[in-house]
Formats: sequence, structure tokens, C-alpha cells
Amino acid sequence: MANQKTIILFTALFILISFSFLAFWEKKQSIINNGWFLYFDDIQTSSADFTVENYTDKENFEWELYLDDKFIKRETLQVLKNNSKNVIIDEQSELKSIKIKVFHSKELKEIYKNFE
Amino acid sequence: MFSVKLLLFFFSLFFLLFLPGYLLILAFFRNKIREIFTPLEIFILSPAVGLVIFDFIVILGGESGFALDLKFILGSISLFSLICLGIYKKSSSSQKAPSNPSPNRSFIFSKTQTVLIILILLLTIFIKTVYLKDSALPTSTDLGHHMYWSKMISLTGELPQYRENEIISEGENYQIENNSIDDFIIGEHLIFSGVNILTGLDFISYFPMLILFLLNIFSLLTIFILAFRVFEIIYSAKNKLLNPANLSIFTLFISGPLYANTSPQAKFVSGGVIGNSIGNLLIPVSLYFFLRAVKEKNSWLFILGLFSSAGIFYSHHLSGLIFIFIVIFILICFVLRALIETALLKFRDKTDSIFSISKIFRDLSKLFFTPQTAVFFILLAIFVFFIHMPGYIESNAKETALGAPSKSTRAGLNFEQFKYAVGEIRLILGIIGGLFLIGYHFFIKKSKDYIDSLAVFTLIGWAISVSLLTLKPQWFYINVPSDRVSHYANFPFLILASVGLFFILRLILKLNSRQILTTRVLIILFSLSFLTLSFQGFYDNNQSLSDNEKNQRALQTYHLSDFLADRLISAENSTSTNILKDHNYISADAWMKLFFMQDPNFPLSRGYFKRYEDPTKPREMCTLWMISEPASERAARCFEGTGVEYIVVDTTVDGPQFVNNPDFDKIYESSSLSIFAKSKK
Repeated sequence: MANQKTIILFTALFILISFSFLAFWEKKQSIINNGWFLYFDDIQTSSADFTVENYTDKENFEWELYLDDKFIKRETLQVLKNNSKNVIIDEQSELKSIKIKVFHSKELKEIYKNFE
Repeated sequence: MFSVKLLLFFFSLFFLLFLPGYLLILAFFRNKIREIFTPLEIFILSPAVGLVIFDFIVILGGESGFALDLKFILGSISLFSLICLGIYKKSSSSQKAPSNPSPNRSFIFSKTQTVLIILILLLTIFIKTVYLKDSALPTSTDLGHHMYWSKMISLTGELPQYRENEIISEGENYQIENNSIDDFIIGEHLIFSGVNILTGLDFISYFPMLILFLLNIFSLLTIFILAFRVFEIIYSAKNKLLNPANLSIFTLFISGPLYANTSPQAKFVSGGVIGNSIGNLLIPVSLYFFLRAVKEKNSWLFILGLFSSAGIFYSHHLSGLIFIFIVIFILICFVLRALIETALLKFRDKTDSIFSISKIFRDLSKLFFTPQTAVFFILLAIFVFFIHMPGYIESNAKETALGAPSKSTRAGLNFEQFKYAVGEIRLILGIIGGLFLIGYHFFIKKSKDYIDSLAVFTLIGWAISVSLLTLKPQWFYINVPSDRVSHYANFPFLILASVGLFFILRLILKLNSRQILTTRVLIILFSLSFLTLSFQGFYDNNQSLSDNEKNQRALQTYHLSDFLADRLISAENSTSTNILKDHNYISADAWMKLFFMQDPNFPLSRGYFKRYEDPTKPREMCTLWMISEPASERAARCFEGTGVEYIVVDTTVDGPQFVNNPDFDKIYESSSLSIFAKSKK
């Protein structure tokens, strides 16, 4: 029976090591390690405030504002890796649409709201 | 590496599975425990028994109106464990331990065999761990569906009502209707809720997969001890080569490192196939208890067999159905064997048969007609009829599982497909092993007892039943996906394959002893068959490796879901809007529902395209139209009827049909996903 207890002991040990490793690995996999996100802060109103979340090594972004499809302004934005930055846009009335374009390296993302 | 939550997770496995299982076995057998089981068997059987105990306790608590929370789980499991411990202590102090406490003398391993078993287990767990590391972050569709219900139990503290919203068409208009679901069974979800309640671990973490992994490891270990107990009846431990220890170790080798990852093993773990995984544990556990109960005429073992079988029916209806067929086929094979024996006796002019009906009935009465068996049947009947009947008995799931096959995928596999499902070499060796076993049983071994036949035909009946159910389901009037049934064939065939390989080895040795083959040729021949088996097993493992990229895509889905839930779900946990997402191109989309906890069909989902073209099962088309052609008139009617205001799609694939549509805003964009919203004009 001593041999059987050895088998039990080793099986339990293998399971503990394997499970601990997989748990550790899952934590490692749960981290977003690339890409960036762009979204409106308030999705239910006409607010154009937006946020950029950055998970890339490059920190410099540029963004453009379009009102009723007309270019209004272009600004730069620095977002550190694993951080997010919120941009406040002044409220405008009687608009047909708002569009935000964000440039990062060679990538472009855009979000917009139509009111008419 | 060891966080507090991880330590709590290990504690929860011990507390919910091992402890109650161990103490129930202890209470059942009291001071005879060492006579009946070896320590290894108790270790292997405890979590399976514990799983069934936990399910029944939680169902009982839930139906009795208790809140299924931390207090209930800690209290009920502790109380159950203390009662079992009390029974054990009381009887062990009042009765003397048997003078010879270890009649399990045959269930021993030499030092070499022990090292071999440990190495096989190390290799098995290592290969599976390497495979599963890319699935540690849960993404699979099945697991996502199941975890919704487990989370629902944890959140509400109640047993769930299995219902979901469905899109119903009324003429040209559409609306949402809440209907019952037939596919889910409570036993699949409770253990995950239990671990979550005890540990506070998030459902989107490692723990659901690790529970399935544990079930998988213990189903292999159960096959190992079942193989030992079967071969113990058939072969003598004194036999140098064909002995129970060698055969069971070889079974462990074939079921462990070889084919470690293919279905129904690690692939089912990473795929979140909960029901089959529980079935693959409880079916061999039940067969183990029943075989030993009949062999040892022990009604407590018989009760444990019935208890484990009940656990199957409260966990997975397909496994329950397969188990019924397995038992029927074992009995048919056994009766056929008895009839052949009776017919042969007439020619041999013998007076006494080992298949004496009166003896068999006398033995069975020792199992059925005891006070404890009667009490068990009464308690089970009360539980089934007055406390909680499995949902599929009341609903129409049984009608969908029984009947003529409704689809080509349910009409049975051809032999070629079956060969790949079981594993080519394993199937061939299994057939050789089965034929050898029958031949050995009929012509070589002189049986002194019908138990010998029962052991042989447990394996044969098990293999035949699942083979026929896979190849010819129409013969048995069953209507379930044939490839899913085929995975149940793996276990009996791998036990038989170990017999097959040993038969070949024995044959080669005989040829060598008669100097027909030289030792060198003998070694080459055996090495070749062993290497072929190993190569195919490891090749199949390799085919199952998955890639790591899907995890980053899944994290995008989780980020998006978190964003949307944060903005839509009120403090009262409700929302008046509906969401639609795509299942074809979005990774881990089935997990989105766990962020909202509104309904299993929230968000609504555009399913696989082929489903919309299935002539055997016409289904609603709204989910297809609202993403594929959102500007169409029929899609507009769908949007109106379903209340869908947000659509989640892959930007590249499905973004274009929304981008130039003024009726939709784009409110969110990540590397691959976008959320479009109906414009608020």
C-alpha cells in the first residue's frame, strides 16, 4: 500500500503544479498586449466626448474633429501604454453629425454620431 | 505563483469534491473500508462521488428555499461531512476491525510498476497542460453558454429557470418570446457556482477549465482502476505478462499520454464540453461500482453504483441515454453467453452450469433486497418525484433525442469516420483485444463463476453498444449527433486495446519460444507495433494544438462587452434596449452574456450561416438580416420588433454595410471590432 500512497502523492503534486501553472498562464493571457480602443464616453446622448485607450508601445496619437462632415480641427494626444485619455468636445447644437478620426502610426479609427 | 484565490480554489476542490466523497465512502463501509478499497481507489473515486453529493445537496437546498450562498454551501457540506464522519467513528468504535484488513492483496504494484505509473501520469498531465495553456483564458462557446447559468445561480442564490428569449415571427412582424430550454441540466452548472461562491473567482478566469481538467484526469484514473478490477477477475496476478497490474498500466498509458488531447480528452476540456466530461467520469465510476457489487455481493457498492448513475441523469441526458444502452448491451451479451453455455452443456453432458439462474438471483437479491437498498430507492423516488425531476423528463428533450434521425449528422458515422473518432490503431487493437478476450474466455480459461463472463462482457458490451449507437443509431431509434456519441467509444476501446497489444506480445513470445522467431525479430516486431501506436497517438495530440492569437481577440470582446454593459445596464441590473452580435467572426462572443446577465440570448446572436439554410430546422432570419442587410425593409421590421439598438460586428467583415448607412452611429472601435448603434434622431 505504500506504493499506492506514493502514486497518490505524486498525482496530487502533478495536479497542483499543473493547475498553478495554468492559473499563472491565464493571468498572463488576460492582459491586452497590443492594439488601442476608441469610443464615445456617452453612447446615449449627443455628447462627442471620447476616450482613447492605448496598449501599444507608441504613445502619440492625432485626432480630427468633423462637424456635419466639415473638418474643424486636428490635435495631438499622448496616451501612455496601458492608459487611457479622455477628450472633452464642446457641446454643439443643431448638428447633423459629429465624427472623430484618430490616427496612430499608420492606423486610422473613426467613430461618429448622426442626428438627422 | 500561489495567490490567495488560487489557494482558495484548491481548498474549494478539496472541500466540495474530495471531502464529502471520501467521508461518504468511509460512512458506507466503516471499518471494512480497507477490505473493500485500496487508498488509491478511495483517492480516485472520492471526487466523482463528491460531485454527485454536491449536486444533490444544492438541488435539495435550492428546492427547499435556502439561499444558495456561502453560508449554505459551507454549512451544508460541513454538516454532511460531519454526519458521515460521525457514522464512521461510531461504528468503528463499536465494532472491531477485521483481523485481516487487506484482502486487496492483488491490487498492488511493484516498485518498477509504481515508477512507471508515476511517469505515465507525469507525461499525461504535462502533455495536457502544454495543450491547455493556450485555453487557460476561457473563450469556448459551450463553456460560455454553461457559465451564464452557473453565474446566474451564484448571483441569485436560486436554482435557475432554464428559459431564454427567442425571436418569433407573426406574419411579417417579429417579436421576442420567452421559452423554456431543453438542453441544459442543473448538474452541469452547480459545481462551478459552488467554486465561485467559495472563492470569489471570476467566471471568466482559469477555474472553469481547471474543474473540467480535474474531471478529465480522474476519468482516466477511473478507467485505470476499472481496468484493474476487470482484469483481476479475468487474469491471475501470478501470470507474468498478462496480469491485472500490467494490463491496467498499459490501459493508463494508452488513455493517458497517447491521445491525451484528442476528443473526448483535453480537447473537451478546452472546448468546455461539461456534460460529456461529467458523463465520461461517472459512466466508468458507475460500471466500476456495479461490477464490484455483483462480484462481491455488496449492497453498499451497489448503492454507490446507483448513486453515481443518478448523478449521470442529473448532469447530462446524452450520457444518461448512452449509459442505459451500455447496461442493456452488457446484460444482452451476458445472457447470450449464458445461453451458449447452456446449449454447449447438452453436448458436454455436464450437470452443473456456472450460469445457474437460482444462484444469480440469490446473489442479486443480496444487492436488491436489503434495508439499505430499499431506503436508497425510496429516497431517490422522493427526490425525483417530489423534489426535483431532471428538466428533460418534463420537457420535450427526450422526444428530440428519441426517434428517427432528423439530420444527416444524426444518421450515424460510416466506419471510416468511426475509425478516426476512436483512433485507427486503438480501434484495430481494441477489436483484436476484444476477439482475444472472447476466445480466451470461451476456449482457454475454465470459468468457475459467472462473474468471469460478466467482467469480459462488461468490456465487450460497452464497446459494442457505443459502436452500434454511433454506426447505426436508427436501429435504436435515437436521434442525437453521431459524432458526439462516437466519443463515448474511446474508453472501452482503449481498455480492449491494451489487451490487444498484450495478445500480440504474447503471440510473439510464443513464436520465439518455439524458435520460429529470433529474439531480435521479436524486439523489432513489438517495438514497431508500440511505436506505431505511440506515433499515431502523439500525432493526434499534435493535430489538436491551438493557437494563442485567439486570446487577444477574446480580450477585445471582453473589453467591448465591459464597455457596453457599463453604459447600458442600470443599477437595477436591467436595460430596455437589445443588442445583436455576430457569432461567425467574433472570438469568445458566447461569453458576452456574462457581462449583462439579462438572458442567455442577450445579446441576440447571428449564428453560423449554415443554420439559416437548414431545411430540417427552419429558424428565425432576423438575426441574419439585421447584420447582413441592415438597410433592407425586412431588417427594419426586425429592428422594430426585437428592440435591437446596438450591433456588435467584426469591423472588416461586417462593418461596410453599416458605415455608409445614416441610420447607424459608430460608437466604439477596437482593432477588429465595432459597435454600431441605431441613430437617435
